[in-house]
Amino acid sequence: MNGPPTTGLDPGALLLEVTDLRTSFRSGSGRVTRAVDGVSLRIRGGETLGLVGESGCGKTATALSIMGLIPKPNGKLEAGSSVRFRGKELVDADPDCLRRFRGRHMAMIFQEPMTSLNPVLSVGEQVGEVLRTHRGMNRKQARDRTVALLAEVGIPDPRRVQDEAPHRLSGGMRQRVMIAMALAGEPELLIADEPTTALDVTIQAQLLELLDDLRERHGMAMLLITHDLGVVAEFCHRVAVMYAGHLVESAPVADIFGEPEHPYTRGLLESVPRLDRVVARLSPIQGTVPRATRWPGACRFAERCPHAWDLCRDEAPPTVERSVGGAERSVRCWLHTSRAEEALGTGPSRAGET
Amino acid sequence: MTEPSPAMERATAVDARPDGGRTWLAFVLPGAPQILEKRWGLGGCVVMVWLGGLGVLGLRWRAVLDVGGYSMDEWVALTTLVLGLVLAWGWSVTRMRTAESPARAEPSPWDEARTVFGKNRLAVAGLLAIVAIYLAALWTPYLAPYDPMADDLTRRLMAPSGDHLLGTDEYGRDVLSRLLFGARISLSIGLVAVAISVTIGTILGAVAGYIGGWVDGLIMRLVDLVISFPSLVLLVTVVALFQPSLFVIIVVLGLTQWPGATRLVRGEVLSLREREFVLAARALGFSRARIIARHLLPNVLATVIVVATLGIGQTIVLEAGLSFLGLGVQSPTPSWGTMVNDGRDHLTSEWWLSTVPGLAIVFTVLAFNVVGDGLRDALDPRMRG
Repeated sequence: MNGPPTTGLDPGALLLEVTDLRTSFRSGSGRVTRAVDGVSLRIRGGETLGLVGESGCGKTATALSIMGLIPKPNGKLEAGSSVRFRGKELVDADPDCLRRFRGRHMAMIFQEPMTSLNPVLSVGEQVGEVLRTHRGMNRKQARDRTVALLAEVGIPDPRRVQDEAPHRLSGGMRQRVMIAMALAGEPELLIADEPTTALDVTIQAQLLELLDDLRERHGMAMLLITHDLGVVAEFCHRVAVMYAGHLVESAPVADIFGEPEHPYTRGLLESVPRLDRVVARLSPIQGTVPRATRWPGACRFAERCPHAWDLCRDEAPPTVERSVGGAERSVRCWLHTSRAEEALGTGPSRAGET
Repeated sequence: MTEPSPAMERATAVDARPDGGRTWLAFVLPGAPQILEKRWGLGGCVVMVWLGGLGVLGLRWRAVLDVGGYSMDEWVALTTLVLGLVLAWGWSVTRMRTAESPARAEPSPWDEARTVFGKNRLAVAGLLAIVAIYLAALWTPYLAPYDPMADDLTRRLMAPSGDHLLGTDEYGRDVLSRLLFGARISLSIGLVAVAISVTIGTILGAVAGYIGGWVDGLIMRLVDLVISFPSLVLLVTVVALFQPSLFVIIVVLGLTQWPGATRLVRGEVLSLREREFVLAARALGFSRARIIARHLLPNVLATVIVVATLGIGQTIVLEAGLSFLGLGVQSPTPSWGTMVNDGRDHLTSEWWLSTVPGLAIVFTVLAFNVVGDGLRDALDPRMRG
């Protein structure tokens, strides 16, 4: 694809639309596990969508599915899954075409900066390679642009650093290099998979500030995968909450923190310490995430849910979508359906007040 | 042990330089300053090239200047002699210049590997031996006292003496001259055949390991197929099908010795491709060919170097074996294996005929193995990031 410069993209236009994404993996013994089960997401140009959830709930699998990086032949996107990038369907796109799409239109940075850089190539060679592949630069141009990019991601003395081997750099510096590489193709979408989890707390804040700053300056959209709700509150415009392969709730960030609807979201928020409220004890969510091989057909959170009733254990809840004041939100819970009123005599609004 | 780090040593050596003595030394005796810094391998090699080259020029200048009717052998000898001297001197002089700028503060993994290798005395000795053998092989036309293929039936089977330092064989040919020319044959067979086999093996191994699936299956079954034949039997069969010649032997050795490299490289690539940087490279939209060539191959380079070094020794032995069976290099062209074979009938009386080339094989292979082991120790832990 040789589109026009990406900065021309109308901010707010629909950039990525994931519909009914189902990704399954086949284990060595032939057992099929569906790690992502019917996830639908939308990202608009320039916005940051936070994808939160506990470990093993399918966040990374979702990101890799979007990028088309699910390892074959053991993993695959099931029929009916759709990933549309600016209206272009990526799921059954030609692999070669999809490859050229990656790095140029969407890029991804990973959790582990210590191993994400090639140990035998210098920093400059690795950044320059992206520029030469996706932006058609020659060696000289790439070197100049690399210095500019390294400076932009806050690396001191970029002229010297570009000739360094990665193992000379600290974790934070390496993650900055990764960001520079992702930025080099000038993508419209940056997927950041827990970009700061492996780093010191002080560095984490700096890097997130940097990402947010770069997003704004380059007009990129960002899919920020994290399990840190503080990060979500500070940097995301909208939030999608995943639990056991399902997307359980998605809403603008203020609504998620103001009036969470799904019991799991509420549980997550209650288990985070807060400075503005005195609580005798934090209330963690009881139990653990069930293993992917044993996900029930009904509501997957039912066993840990304080509000669960018979229906929750028998049938999978539908996703209820609605628009509140122009903002779309969705929740996947029986409590927010008409069946709840019939069964319990409570409305969706009251269920949230327990 | 509080040994100063090599970087420190180098730094102090740089400081000590402006005294002028060493600068002078670098112009007159390239390699000597490095030896004074206790970098035996590097210094030793350069000194050998320099002194050896000058020695040849000084003692055999008639042969060197004899322009009329150069053979291929003589061209090779002349070119390498001139090139060796010029490079040794030029290197030494430019070294003095660049060394005055401050040494790079942080050594690269290759620098570190070189320091580790330099501390391994056995490996350094092996390296010096290999360089000496190669120089002798390259400059043979100036070093050999006689024509290695000229029969002289009046002087057959003579014991080592002043005229013939290592005696003569049953056709009256000088054994020392044949040994030196044999070194050319054996070493070039080793080098070229290994270059072929390691190239094939590395590419196939990397492709099999990275792409996987049926491609991997196909390549590895091919490996199994080649390995399942006893190596020597396979060689004997193939050589018997063609006329044994230098070319055929090199090609056959090259085309049969690649499975070892394939397996090693594939194993390494299998573990490398699970590393995050490969996923990151894919996420940046690099093609498979690029990922293999630019991201995986440099990471297996250390392994490939070790495999190649050890492979040269092994190939020399294989060639000797083939020649001993009469299927290798054909008489009167000398190769070490052929020479051992030629002397077989005279083992009890003229023992030097087989012993001398046999020792040359052992010595050379030993040197390659020692260097290979040294390289493995030096490269392995360093190159893993």
